[in-house]
Formats: sequence, C-alpha cells, structure tokens
Amino acid sequence: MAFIKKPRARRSNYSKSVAGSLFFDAICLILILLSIMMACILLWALVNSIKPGEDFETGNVFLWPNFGKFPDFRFWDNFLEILTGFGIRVDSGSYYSSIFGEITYEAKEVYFPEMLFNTIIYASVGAIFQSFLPAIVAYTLCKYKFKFSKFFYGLALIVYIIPIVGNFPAMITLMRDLGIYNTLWGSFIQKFNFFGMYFFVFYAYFENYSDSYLEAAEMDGANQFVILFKIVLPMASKLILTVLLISFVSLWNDYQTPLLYMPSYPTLAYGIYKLVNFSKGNGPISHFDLTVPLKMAGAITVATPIVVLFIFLKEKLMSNISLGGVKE
Amino acid sequence: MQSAVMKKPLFKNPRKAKRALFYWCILALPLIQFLIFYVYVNFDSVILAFQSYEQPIGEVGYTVSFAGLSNFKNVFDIIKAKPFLLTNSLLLFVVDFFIGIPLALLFSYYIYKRRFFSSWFRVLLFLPQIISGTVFAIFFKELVSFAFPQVGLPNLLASDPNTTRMTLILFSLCMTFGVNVILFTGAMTSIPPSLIEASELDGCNPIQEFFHVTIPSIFPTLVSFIIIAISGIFVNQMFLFTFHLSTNEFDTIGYFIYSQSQSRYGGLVPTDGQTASYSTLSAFSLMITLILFPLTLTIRKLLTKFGPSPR
Repeated sequence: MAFIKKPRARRSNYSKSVAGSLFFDAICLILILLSIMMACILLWALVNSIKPGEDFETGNVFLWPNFGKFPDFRFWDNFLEILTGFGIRVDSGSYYSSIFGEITYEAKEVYFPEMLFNTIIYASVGAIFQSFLPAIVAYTLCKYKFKFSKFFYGLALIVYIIPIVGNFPAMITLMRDLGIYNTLWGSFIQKFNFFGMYFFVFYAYFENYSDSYLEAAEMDGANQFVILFKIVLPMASKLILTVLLISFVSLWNDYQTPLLYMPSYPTLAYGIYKLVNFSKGNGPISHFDLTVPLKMAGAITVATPIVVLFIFLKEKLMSNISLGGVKE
Repeated sequence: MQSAVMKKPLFKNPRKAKRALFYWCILALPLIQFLIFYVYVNFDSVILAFQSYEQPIGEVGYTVSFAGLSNFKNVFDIIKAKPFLLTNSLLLFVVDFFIGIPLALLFSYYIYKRRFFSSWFRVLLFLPQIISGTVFAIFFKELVSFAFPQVGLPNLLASDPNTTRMTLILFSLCMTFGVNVILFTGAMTSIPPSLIEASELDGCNPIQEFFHVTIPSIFPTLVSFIIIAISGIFVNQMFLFTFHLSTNEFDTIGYFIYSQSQSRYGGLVPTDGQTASYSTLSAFSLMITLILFPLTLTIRKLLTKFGPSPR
C-alpha cells in the first residue's frame, strides 16, 4: 500500500507521566546534538567559501575572513572563479565494441557551463523517464486486465525483490558492445525503465482510482491515448511531480553513474568530486587554483540550485510517499 | 467492463482490439528495454563469471575461454588478502541495523508526536538528501583534514584506524536518517486515531504506545526497511568514494566492486591499478546475489509470520 498523506495535526495531551516526558527529552537531546553538528559543518563551509584562499592557508581556518588584509578580494570572488574558471580534464580512452570495433574518445577540458548543461540534461531527462514511465506502465497494467498484466506485475515484483549487486561490468560491456558507452543518450536508454519502488507506489495509486471516469470517457469515444494524456496523467500529476522532483534531486547529485558510464560528459557533481579529490592537472585543469575556500565554493555552487528548489517545493520533496509491505 | 459490447464485422470486439493495441504500444518499448538492460545484462553477468578474457598482444579484441570456477577462486583470494572488505561491510550493517533504524524510528515517533521543534528537525534530518551526502562529505572531509589539525584537534579521517572507521560509519549513518524518517512518519500518520485513543484510555504512556501500538502498526513498512538494509549489506559504500582516502583498509565490498568496475581501458582484462577483472567482479556479484536472495526471502517470510500486529 502506498499513499501520500499530509501529516495530520494532532498532539496528544495525554500522560503527564515522567517516564514519557523523559523519553521525549532524551530523543530531543540526540536530535539537538545532531543538529548542532550538522549546523557547524554547514556554517564552517559557508564561512570558508567566501574567504580568500591565502587567508585560509595562513592559519585562519575557523573564523570570519580577514577581508581587511585582502582589500582586492570581494566575498563572491571564489564563486565567480568557479563559474568562469573552473574546469576539469577528461581523459582520452578507447574500448573495444564487438559490433563497432575499436572506439576511441579524445581527452578534453570541460568548463563549468558545459558541466551545468550536462547536469541539467542528465537530471531532467532521467527524472522524466523515472517518473512518467512507472506511472504510465503502472496505469496500463492496473487498468487493462489482459492475461499478461498479472505476469508483468509479478515480474516487476521479482525484479524488486532480487537484490542484484554490482552488475556494472556486464552493463558496461553491453553498453560498449552497443556503442552507447560514454554517450549522454546511452545513459538515457539505461534510465528508460519502469521497475523499482515507484512502480508499486503508482500501481497502488491507480488501484484506488475508480474505473467509471475512464469508462465514461471511452463511451464518449475518447481514444485510449487521449484518456491517458488528458485524464489519467493530469489526475496523477501531483504524485508524478513528487517522484519527478525526488529523482531530479538524486540525479543532480549523482556523480558515480556518470563517472562509470559517461566519463567524457562530466556533470557538476562529477566535476566537484574531481575538484576536491585530485591534484592539479590530474582532474581539475592545471591553471585552476586549488584552495580549500575554492573547493567549498564549488561544492556550495553545486548544491545551491537544489536548495532553492527545496525552499520553494519543500512539502513536495518531503511528502510522505510511504511504502508499506508490497503486495505479493 | 463488458457492458459496452458493440458488434462490428471487422473485429469480434473492436473495443478490446483498440485496448490491446494501446496496451502493447505502451508496453513495447519498456519491455524491450527490460529484456536488454535487465534480463540480458544479468544473464551476461552470470556468463561473465564463468569466462576469462585475454587480449592477444598487438591485436584488437579479445579471446574468450571457459574459466570454470577460477573466477570464484579469485574472489576467495581477494577476500583472503583483504579480509577487511567483509568485516567493514558487516560492521557497517550492524551499526546501521541496530543503531540507525532504531534511532530513525525514535526520531520519527518524536516528529509524529509533534514535539518541541519537530518540523525543524524533520527538515534538518532531510537536509543531506537535498544538499546531498556527497557535498556534506566534502565539507566534512575538508573541515576535518585541513582545519582540525591546525588547532590541535586530531584529523578524524587519518589518525588511528579505529577512529577513522567509526567516523566513517557514524557519518554515513547521519546522512541516511532523512529518508527513513520521512517514510516512517508517513506510515505513522496513517495509524487510525481510534487505535491511539483506545490506548490512551487504557492508560498507555508514550513509551508503551510506541512499542505496543506504533511499531506493530507500521510493521509492514519496517519489514521493507529491514529487507532493504539486508540487501544493502554489500552495496553500501560509506561515502568512501567521496572521501577518497589514501588507504584502502576501510573499503567495503560495495566500494570495492564499484571502484574496480571503473576502469578507463577495457576492464575485461585487468589493467593498470585494477586488481580484479570484470569476470572476477561478476563472480563476486553472483556469489553475493546467491547469498542475499534466499536470505532476504526467508527473513521477509519470518518477519511477516512472527512479527507483531496491532491489537
């Protein structure tokens, strides 16, 4: 069973019992400690992102920047540097495809705007696939009771239950054979699947939806596709939007998949990963300064769009898509 | 469904024909994708586990031969040479299972009861999903390794191995609360109010309510989580990739398989810096799946059978 619920406003005034309030106080204490820790990390990163690199390196690692010592430095300079100067070097490589033979790709330097472009394309297309596809397939399997529907549902369930770990090598080998390794559209084809948790969320949603609407539309002579696009999808749009946003955020932050399947198309998260962990010229381009404040500014720049999105769509992103036991 | 039967000569049942056409139009592409990128890939993964690849010098392409069980032997050699892979993975699981999930449950209960500052805590716990655990890890790494030593604090990520290991585990624990809390509170809000009122009338205090009403009521959700935690034992990478430590003694199996899969040239034949070929990695994956699949099924069955239900 899955459903979306707004938290109900209820606060019980029962039990003034000592044990009860101690219990909540203890949890509160842990939560406060956790909050302080997280707040400290964030605050430290923010303060250091606006600091001149030299200031940090000469020992001011915790406190407010000494802007007085660096009169030419404006507090947004690190961010400006990231937006305009930050780039990474992407290695050349070659692989063997059993269909297309030897395929090589060139080394190149990729700068911030291109990484941003890659990220937007990668995250948007991926999120659209990962939200609309489970919705449409779940609707079809749920409302069109053909012989195969039960079979496909069972298939989705089996896929969901079997814990497959690390089939990366076989996946890479397949993508290389098909010649779609290291391409953006290769990663889209990979994401064009409906199985996963959200399939069941949508399936449960459509199960609760009465058929009468759809039948009425059909009586009026509406085409099946018209019903899908004009009635079903708009009706489920809230749920679809939530899934879309969640997927978008996780794809925006994902750097491991791009690193594995499309090394020549770095996304921002991928770029920042290289910026933080590699030495000059061995990831970040050789004429880019590598100071801690710059690294912080880079990481914050990547996170900012998502934080903005979160501020506006907080309830959507945190909505309770709850997944109970999947029906077997 | 059968109410509108219109007889036309072309098809026995034109409505059904139209519906069937739509059905297969929608399903065709996803099914083809499924067959290639799921069925074929996993099938090939099994095949790979029994093959060995060699690249003749000066030639393009590979020669493939049947390897028998030698890839599996390689896996055992790896585990023998790096026993920490297994212990790290298991330790991470134990901490996650016995500290992470219970804490997430308590936090969810706190937030569900709308205690002091609960909406603020909810956002805060969810923050690592928004800013991303990776970015947090970057902040944390720089803070600990550049700023801490300057003021005489120990570099938690590079002093003694046990500190580092515990730091890594606890850090990854803190990053994962958000989703769990959202899903648990979601399940808790759907507990029927009458059940809670009844328990209040019976004089339950919050602790009793938590154990006797809340936990049994959300048990199906909890089972899903336990299953996810178990199937994640050998996937969890503990943010090791982001931390990019100079030593490998904290590696988990999930990290090992991922990082070894990532090879710039080929990979079917082990290349520079790669200790395991794709065949060995596939054998590794196959072994893990063979352990986890029956394990998760059994545990799911047992939990559903003997687990509590609300009274």
